[in-house]
Amino acid sequence: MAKEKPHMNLVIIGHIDNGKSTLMGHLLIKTGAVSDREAREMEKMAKDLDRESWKFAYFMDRLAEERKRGITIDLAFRKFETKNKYFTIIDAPGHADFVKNMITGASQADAAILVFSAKTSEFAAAISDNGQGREHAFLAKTLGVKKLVLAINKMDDASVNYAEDRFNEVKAEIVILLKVVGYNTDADVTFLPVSAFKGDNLAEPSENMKWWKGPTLVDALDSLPVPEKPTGKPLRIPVQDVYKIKGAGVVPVGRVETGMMKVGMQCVIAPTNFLGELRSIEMHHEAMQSAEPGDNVGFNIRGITMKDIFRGCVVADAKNPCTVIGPQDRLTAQVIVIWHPTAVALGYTPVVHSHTAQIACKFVELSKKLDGKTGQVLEDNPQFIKKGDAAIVKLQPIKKFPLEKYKDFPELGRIAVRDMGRTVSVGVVLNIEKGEE
Amino acid sequence: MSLFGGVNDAADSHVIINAQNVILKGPEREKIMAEKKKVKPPKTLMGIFDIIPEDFDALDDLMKNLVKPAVEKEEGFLETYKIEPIAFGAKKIIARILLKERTGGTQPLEDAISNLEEVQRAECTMVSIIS
Ligand SMILES: Nc1nc2c(ncn2[C@@H]2O[C@H](COP(=O)(O)OP(=O)(O)OP(=O)(O)O)[C@@H](O)[C@H]2O)c(=O)[nH]1
Ligand SMILES: [Mg+2]
Repeated sequence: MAKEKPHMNLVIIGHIDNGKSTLMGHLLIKTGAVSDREAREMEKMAKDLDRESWKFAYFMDRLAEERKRGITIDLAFRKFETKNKYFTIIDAPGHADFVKNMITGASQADAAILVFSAKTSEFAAAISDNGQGREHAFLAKTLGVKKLVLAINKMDDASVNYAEDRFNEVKAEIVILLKVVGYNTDADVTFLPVSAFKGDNLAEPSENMKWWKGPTLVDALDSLPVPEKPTGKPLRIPVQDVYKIKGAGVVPVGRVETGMMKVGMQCVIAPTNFLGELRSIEMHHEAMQSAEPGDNVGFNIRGITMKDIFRGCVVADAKNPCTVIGPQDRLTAQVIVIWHPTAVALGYTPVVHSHTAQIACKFVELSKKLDGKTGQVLEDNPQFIKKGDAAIVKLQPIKKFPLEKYKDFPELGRIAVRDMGRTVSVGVVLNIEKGEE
Repeated sequence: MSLFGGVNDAADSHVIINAQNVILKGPEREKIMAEKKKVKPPKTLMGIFDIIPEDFDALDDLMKNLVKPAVEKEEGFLETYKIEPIAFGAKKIIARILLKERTGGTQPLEDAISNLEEVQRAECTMVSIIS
C-alpha cells in the first residue's frame, strides 16, 4: 500500500485586498479540491449575483450549495493535495481576537502564504509602517511559523503588466522587511510571482512570465519541508478534559505534543506532582500500546483521582517532568501588544493562556520596549506599553503554572494574554527564573 | 480589521515610512492612506468547535434543542456537526458554525455554548474566512 502523504497546515495572510481569498479559491480549483463542474456552477452563480470579479473569492461560500444538495460535509477546513502532500488551508480573519485560536487551538500553522499585491498603491500600504503585510510577517514569526511562501500577486494588473522589474523591485523591499522581522530570506522564504485572479504561475508555469525560472505556487508548497514529529523529546501532554467514566474511572484526555507515551511508563502530573503508572491508552475507543505527537488520546493512570489532574495540567515522563512556575518565580516573555484600550503598565494582571492552561499573571517588570520595525531596543524599563508595541516583560503567575521555554518546547511556550474577553497580547516564553519557595 | 488595529484608527494619521525608511509625503502618502482606510462589511467565518458534553447520551437532542438555539442567539449558524468517540466511552461533538467576524472573536459563542448546563466546555479550535 502506498505510504500516506504527510499533512501540513497552511495559513494565508497579508494586507486587506491584496488577493488572499482569491488566491485560496483559485488554488483549490487548480489542485482539484473543487471540481471543474462545481467551478462552472459557481461562476454562473457568482455571475448571477453580479460580482464576477469576486468569482474565486466566492468559492469559499460553497456551503449553501452543499446544504441544498445534501452532500455530507467534511468537517475539516479547505483541503487540497499536491504530488507529495496534503494541505489544510485557513484564510485567517483579520481581527486580533482570532489570534488566540492559533495559539491554543489545533490550528498552529506549519507554513504561511504571505500575499503582497504588486500594484503600487496597494503594495505601499501593505508594507508601510503599520500595514498588515508588515504586521502579519511579524506575528507569523512570533508565533513560530518557520516557512513562508511569498506570493507577489496581481502580476496581471495593467500597472504591473507581468514585468520582471516590478517583481524584483517588490521582492527587494520585502526582503528588507523579512530580514528585520527575523526570517532567513534565503533558507526560509520562497518568493514567486502570481496572478491569483488569472491563474498565472499557480499550478503551471505562466506563458505571460517566461522570464520566471522559479517554482509555481503548487511546486513551492509541494516542496516545503515537512516538520518532523518531535518523537525524540520528553513526553508532554497538556490535559484538555478529564472524565469520570463508569468502569474506567478517571480518564484524562489530551493531544500528545512531544515525545512518546507508552503503557507501563511512570508518569508525573504538573503541577500536582501526582506520580503513577500509565495503565492504558485509547484513541477513538481503540486500545493502543503507545501514542505519538499529534495523537488525541484518553488514558488511565493507576490510583489517580479528579483532584490530581484537571484541564491545564501537563502529563510528563516521571524522569523528565514539566517545568512549573509559581508565585515565587518569574517568566520572561517577548510579547506584542495587539489590543488594549489604554496601556499595559506594571501591576496589570490579566489571564495568560498557554496550551490548555489559563492562569492570571501580573506584569512585574517591563524590561524593554522594542522597535516593531527593526527589533532594536527603543527604551529600557518603559513606563507602559501600548497597542502595536513589542516588548520584553516579566510576569508573575498568581498560582502554579505548568509551562516551558519556547526554545525547548514551542508547543508549551507560546502565550496569549486575554482580558475582558479579548486578546491583549501574544508572545513566547524566553526564560524562567526560579525564586525561593 | 488589522491585527494591531489600524484600519479605522487614529493611529493611522501616522507618518508613513516605506521599507527603506523614507518618509512618504504628498499624493503618494494620500494614496496609501486611501488604501488603508478601506472598510469592508464584516466577513463570514467558518469555525470548528469542540463541544464536550456532561454525559454522552442523547447528543443529537442536545445539539438540536440546546446548542442550536444558543448559537443562533449569538448570531451564529450551526451548520453541521459530528459525534466523535474519544476514549473509554467518552465522546465529543465537533461542530461547524458560521459566524460573523467581530470584536471578541469566538469568545461569545464559546461562552454561550459552555454556559449550557449539559455542556462541560466548548472551544473553537480553527477558524477561517469563507466569504
Ligand atoms: N488584477 C487582479 N486582481 C486581483 C488579483 N487577485 C485578487 N484581485 C482582486 O482584488 C480584490 C480583492 O481580492 P480578495 O481576494 O478579496 O482580497 P483579500 O486579500 O482576501 O481581501 P480581504 O479579505 O478583504 O483582506 C478583488 O477585487 C479581486 O478580484 C489578481 O491577481 N489580479
Ligand atoms: Mg479575503
